[in-house]
Amino acid sequence: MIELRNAYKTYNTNGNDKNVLENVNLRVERGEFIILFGRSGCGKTTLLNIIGLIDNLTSGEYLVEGINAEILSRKEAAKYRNALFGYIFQSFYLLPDLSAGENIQLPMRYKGMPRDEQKERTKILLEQVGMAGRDKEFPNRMSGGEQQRIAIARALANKPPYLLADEPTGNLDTTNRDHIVHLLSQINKEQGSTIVMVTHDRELLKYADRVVEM
Amino acid sequence: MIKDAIRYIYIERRAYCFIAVQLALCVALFTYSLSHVTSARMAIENANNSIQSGRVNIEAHPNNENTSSLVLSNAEIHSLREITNGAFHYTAYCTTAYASGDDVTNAFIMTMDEDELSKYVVYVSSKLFSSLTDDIVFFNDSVSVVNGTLYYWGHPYEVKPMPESISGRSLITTIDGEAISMDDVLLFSCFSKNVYDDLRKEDHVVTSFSLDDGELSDNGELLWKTLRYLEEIGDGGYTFSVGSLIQEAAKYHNYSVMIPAYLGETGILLLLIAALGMIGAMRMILRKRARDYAIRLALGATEWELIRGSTCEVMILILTGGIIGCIIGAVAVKKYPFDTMFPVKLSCSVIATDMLILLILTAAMVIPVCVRIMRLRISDLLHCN
Ligand SMILES: Nc1ncnc2c1ncn2[C@@H]1O[C@H](COP(=O)(O)OP(=O)(O)OP(=O)(O)O)[C@@H](O)[C@H]1O
Ligand SMILES: [Mg+2]
Repeated sequence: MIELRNAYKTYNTNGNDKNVLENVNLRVERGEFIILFGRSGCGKTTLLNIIGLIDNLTSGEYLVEGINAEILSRKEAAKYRNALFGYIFQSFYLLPDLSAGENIQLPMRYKGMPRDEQKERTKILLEQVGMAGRDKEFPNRMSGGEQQRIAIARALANKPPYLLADEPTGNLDTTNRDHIVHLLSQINKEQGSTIVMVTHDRELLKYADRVVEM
Repeated sequence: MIKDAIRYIYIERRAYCFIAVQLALCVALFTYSLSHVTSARMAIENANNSIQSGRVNIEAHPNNENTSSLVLSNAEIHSLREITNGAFHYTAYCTTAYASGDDVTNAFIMTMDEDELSKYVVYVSSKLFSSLTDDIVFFNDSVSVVNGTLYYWGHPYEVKPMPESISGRSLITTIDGEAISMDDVLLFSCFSKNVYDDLRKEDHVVTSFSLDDGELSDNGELLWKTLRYLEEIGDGGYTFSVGSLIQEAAKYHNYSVMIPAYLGETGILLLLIAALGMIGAMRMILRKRARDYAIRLALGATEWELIRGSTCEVMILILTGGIIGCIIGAVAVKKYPFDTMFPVKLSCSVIATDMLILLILTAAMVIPVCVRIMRLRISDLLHCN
């Protein structure tokens, strides 16, 4: 379970404080499929970054599995990011110099998984996202939809309980969009992964168990 | 991790090649110069040590143009050693060549005292070597070659190619200051009894004399005795003077140290410039790679892992460049030493200084990298789409 209590996030640009998150209270149970929905600039990405431990709150509390994020050291935060969260970005963020397979293996490497286990798991993941046998290809040779599948496989690498997706279909056409969201929904149902997805596409709201309007 | 480092180096291969080449050249220049400076210092120190032990140098100056330098026979040297209770030393001029061009082939006869030279061998350049080992070659009365053995005044010498460290030198004759190439030289060890005697006949070798403690121990009596005996041997053909080792040390200093020392300073300066360039290049590479690192951090890498990876890169780079530079420098010292007034050698202290500089350079490159990585803000780097 992850929980935000009285969360505030303030950015300071050119001396002006800007409150992006004001008194946010959010509780996500394991196994949920939640969509964060709201107009552009309302702080969805910011919120997702805080949940994913790649940004900090200005004030308030964020509890990850009952532990206050504020007391985590850099090393512990890295470990949590690696084990608890799988991040999927709008622009995929695959490392261009690594092959698809190597990209997928990155989180496993940082976890310290043995090499042959990594290979085995990569194979399974590629099958799962419908990209079997394409581990040697490089991301820049793939279509957007294919790249996002690889990114999803990478996010799933360490079987994280939480998948955080920031407009994962924002750069895709409707066919690919439907495939990807379908895939996420399937992962949520079959593997019980919690999914927190950001979107401003109304058509996708139907997939969610719960929609949080911001 | 090493695999990642190598991959990153490959991605930035242009920048890294440039840095490595620059580094190698600077280290080579620095090694070359520093070797000269340290060798000169060692020569000066040796001279100073001799001064401190009360050593006196005697020089024999020919009085007319028909005579060249005084040469002692072994028996005379022996008597001089007895007169002076063993304080008498002599060295056939070693680093300066004395030569006479009386051969049809223009080969010069030369002696040198180098540890590498053996008594019963005559050393020739590889060019001469191939022409000498074939059949029978007659140079003149004193030199002939029969089936690979060279006879000089009837004494047999084995013929060998000159050691590389010597063949590269360019020497100045004492006669007219003209340089002769080692290609045209028949080189004997001056410690060979035969060749010394033969040279005595030919009046061929420049010899310097010195006395240990002679002047100081007995109010100059030993010195006076020595000079008188030398005058007797020289038969009025020479004037003797007592040379100062202090002057000799100063001569080393002025003549041989200046240019390499200047090179050393240039080397340091270039190294500094190169270091600045390297730090700049590294900053650029890191800026380019910031998002890569942010993605890795988001996937669970720790800052420490990234620092280790980039340190590995820097170390591979500096070690490669540095070691290549050291090798180039060492080869240059061996093959193309700047001057032959004193032996130029690559000493351990030079290598140690190189290593220290490389270490400092590594630190200078790694520390900014660490600071940058610790300051990476993942959310800022991954925010904009
Ligand atoms: N690092 C930052 N420094 C200053 N201001 C920031 C920073 N990151 C975000 N902001 C501001 O915070 C606000 C919320 O940004 P955020 O990216 O969370 O919005 P969003 O809901 O994800 O928008 P979109 O739907 O367009 O992606 C924006 O006005 C943005 O300008
Ligand atoms: Mg956003």
